[in-house]
Amino acid sequence: MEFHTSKWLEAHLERNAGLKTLPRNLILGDIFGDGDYRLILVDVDFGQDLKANLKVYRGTGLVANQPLPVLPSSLISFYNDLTEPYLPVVGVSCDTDFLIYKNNKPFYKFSVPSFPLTTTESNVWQRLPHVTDESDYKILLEKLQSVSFSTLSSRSQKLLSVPLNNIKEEIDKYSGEEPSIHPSITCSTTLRKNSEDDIAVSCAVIGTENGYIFILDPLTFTVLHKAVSANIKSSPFILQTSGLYDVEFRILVICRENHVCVIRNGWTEGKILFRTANAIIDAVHLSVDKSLVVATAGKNLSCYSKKGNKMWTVKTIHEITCLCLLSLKSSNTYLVGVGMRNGAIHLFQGRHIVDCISAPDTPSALLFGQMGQEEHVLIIITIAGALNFKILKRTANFNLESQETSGPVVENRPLPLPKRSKLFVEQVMREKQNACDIHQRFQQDLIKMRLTAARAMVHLKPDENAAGNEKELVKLSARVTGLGPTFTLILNVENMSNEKPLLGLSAILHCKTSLYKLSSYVIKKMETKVLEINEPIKGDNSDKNNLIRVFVIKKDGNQPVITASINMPDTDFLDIL
Amino acid sequence: MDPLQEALSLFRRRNFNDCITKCTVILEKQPLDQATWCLKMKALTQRVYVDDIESDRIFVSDLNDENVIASAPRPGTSLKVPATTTSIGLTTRPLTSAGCPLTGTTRPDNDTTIDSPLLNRLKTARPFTSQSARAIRIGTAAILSQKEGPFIQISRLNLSKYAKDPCLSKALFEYLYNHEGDVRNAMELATKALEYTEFKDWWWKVQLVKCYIALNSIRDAEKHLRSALKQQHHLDTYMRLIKLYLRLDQPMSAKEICCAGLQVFPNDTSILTELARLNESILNTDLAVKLYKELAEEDAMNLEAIASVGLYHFYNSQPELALKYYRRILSMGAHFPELYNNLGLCCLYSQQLDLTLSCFQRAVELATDSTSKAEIWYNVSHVALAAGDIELALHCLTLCLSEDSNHAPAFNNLAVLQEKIGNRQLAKVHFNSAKQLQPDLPEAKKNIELLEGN
Repeated sequence: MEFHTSKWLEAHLERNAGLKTLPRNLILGDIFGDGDYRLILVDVDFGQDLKANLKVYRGTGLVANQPLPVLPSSLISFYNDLTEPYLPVVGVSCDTDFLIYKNNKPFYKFSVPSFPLTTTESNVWQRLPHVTDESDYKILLEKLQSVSFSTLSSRSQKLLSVPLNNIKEEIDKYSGEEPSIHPSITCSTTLRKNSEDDIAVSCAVIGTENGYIFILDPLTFTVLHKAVSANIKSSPFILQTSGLYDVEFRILVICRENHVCVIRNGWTEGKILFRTANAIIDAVHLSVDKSLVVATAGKNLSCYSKKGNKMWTVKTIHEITCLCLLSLKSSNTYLVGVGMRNGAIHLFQGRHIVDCISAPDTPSALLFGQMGQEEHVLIIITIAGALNFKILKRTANFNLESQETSGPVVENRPLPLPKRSKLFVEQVMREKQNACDIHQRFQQDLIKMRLTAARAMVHLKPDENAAGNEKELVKLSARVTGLGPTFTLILNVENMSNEKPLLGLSAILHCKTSLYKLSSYVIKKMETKVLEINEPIKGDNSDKNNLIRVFVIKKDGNQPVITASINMPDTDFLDIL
Repeated sequence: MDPLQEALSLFRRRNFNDCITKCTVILEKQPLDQATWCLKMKALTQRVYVDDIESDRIFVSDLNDENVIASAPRPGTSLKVPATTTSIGLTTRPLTSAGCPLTGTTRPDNDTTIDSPLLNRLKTARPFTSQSARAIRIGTAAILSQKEGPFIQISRLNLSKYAKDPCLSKALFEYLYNHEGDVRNAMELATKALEYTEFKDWWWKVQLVKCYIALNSIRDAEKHLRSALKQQHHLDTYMRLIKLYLRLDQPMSAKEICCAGLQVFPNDTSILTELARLNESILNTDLAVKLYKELAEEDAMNLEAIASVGLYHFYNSQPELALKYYRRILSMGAHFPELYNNLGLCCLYSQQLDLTLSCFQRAVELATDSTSKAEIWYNVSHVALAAGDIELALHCLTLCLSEDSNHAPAFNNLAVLQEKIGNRQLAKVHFNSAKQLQPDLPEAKKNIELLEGN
């Protein structure tokens, strides 16, 4: 992996931007319909009273800033109709309301429908305005306390936390209003309606505190579909969708109770897909293989298949704070960006890290997409409030192929064993029954084969061998170049020993003089470790067996150290020319 | 009997030499007897005639090929850069350095000798066309056999006259092309005849294509073949077009032609063979095997089909099934070392140990040429390794290398064994030679790294 040359251009870094942005609270959208993608984010002021602003950046400059009534939970952007100019709307989930902005102006408001109270609670509220005695309050409040806190309406929850002497005022606030449960929106996302195109109508999908998921009509913003995420208490905090609403869709609901539910077309109740041991921090759905990458507490990054089976887990070096999907459509690559404490951001392709980037400090939210005219921009907002834009170089190449080959195979895939054929079973039976005979026969044959090999080795002159002379540790190889009729013969004598020098070697070349004329037949001094001899050989051959033999001999030896026979190539095809 | 009648009868009985002498006698008496002249031409042609469809060797890496289009083709559309596949079997199939599957069967068109050694030799800038050498050699041989001078003085022929004579022109063309090997004049004749027939005779178009291909003018050849196909669906034309696309390295187009040909000639064995080979070389193994099976059903004696199905089963980790197919070939009367070698390997991997070594023994005894000897010894070394006999394995590998000194995997394995018995220095040298011989051999690369790491 090459870390030294970064694949990213540092486009903009504003350390004192003072932004406090939570994950899923920033989006990129062409919200003015001019093809210039703006960055929209929610900046939260954690001061005395919580305040939040919706900010729009064009390039690096802030172009709009409008206050929001309450702290929003998430921010989405989608096309709600296809009238020219194409203007996406921005949806902000504020408490129980889903505010829709178009052209950066308030456009519509959707309120989560109310849910009826439990009978005990409604009984209490029927009686509460008529009670004056403090002891009666106590009895009624005790009754309220008997009901599970999370199923109470917000006003009962608040009532239980108010001191007894203020209770009268608190109750008077709601006089005349029918008590009901208005769950707040905890998360939202978009689901494409009927087309996978870049510009296509999408439905808003919102999840509420009490585990309900609403799919909204893109035009009228009425509820198209309502489903509860699971049969047990679950409070969703991330939604991920795939598919098309009109065809087939899947909504993955990631809940704070450490489970992930799935909702499909027509289901009114979701099913739990899997549970995790540790708290889920963030999750990203990969549409290519429909897997879900989940970051959990304890430095774990796991990937779950479409069916909820865990495919892999890797330990990261630091605690994960946020994830984001980097889809490079041109190269059909989908990476998962993992933001960690200390400001490291690792890009994962499958289970392998393909790139490492660093942020000024711990990133609190990451986003990748088109910004302005630039297609691949990574936006990093850190906990300290820095705003950082990085542009992916167009030449960036994540060396994915080498990654895939070097990495181990997916753990869960079984070995591809072939089907056991009938023949195989029969052969196994034969082997079992005649084990002794087979063994004896094999041993006999092995001895015979040893004999054959030994005989062949004897025939093979000990010195004429491509593998070299093992006693003298000399190796000789030859190469013929040229098309003829003149060839060049390159002999390469190699000393295989580390200790001994090769001294006093000379070579004799032998050939049919009727066929070849050599420039020299004897090479006297071969003292360097590797020697190359070039000699043009005049050839004129019609004989097929055109061998040239080379003998390398030592000064005092009466036997050649090593020999080689070189098959000279045909000069036949010269006739063609 | 009328001497011409006799000559004709001899021709029909394929007694060409006698026919030729008979014709010569007649022509001495009547030099202008066109019938005899034509018969003699035909006899001479028939004597040296070869079916050039199957034998035309394809140079995948032609040296001065001007028809190269894309240097980086999309995956799966080229034979030079085949698609990478994830291996499914337990044993991976050996591939050539270009990534094509080594078939284990020798075919007329995948000439394995045209690999690196020859190309290395051709580093000089001399042009080297891919015209089949055979045509030339036949031509020269034919002249030698006629001591009294050539039968026809080509330079004196009035080609335009003969082009207009439908009785003589075709025979004359075949004579010129096959017997004389004179492509240029043959082409001139074909062009004139084609003009005379107003481009309506598909036969002339195909003949013209033969000349174009010999002169390496492939795009013109393609045009003419396509127009010939519009006039007449002929198997020969289809086959030539398929071969042409393979030569142009366009397997997808070749495939299309195969399919079109199969619609006209359903279950035709030659097209099926071609299609199966094509699929195999672009690593579309499953389809290739299906086609080979179809082929074997159509022609139960087709060795190539049976062997290829066997091969598929072997690399699909079912050696026992492969064994069945190779035994079928054996029972068909085939008796050559490669077959015994394959039988031995199948026996080894399907645990039929009692038969393994006897097969190899027979293969060793039968092998004559050094490449197959080298491969057999290389395979025996695997048996030795399976039996845990390192010494025998060393011997086998040494023998393999003495037969083929460019066998990189043998060098690699030898080095591993040397390392095992403690000769690290020797191992290093051998690893390096393996890497030199085949720079993309992953084993050698990895092993060198390991050795240097320790």
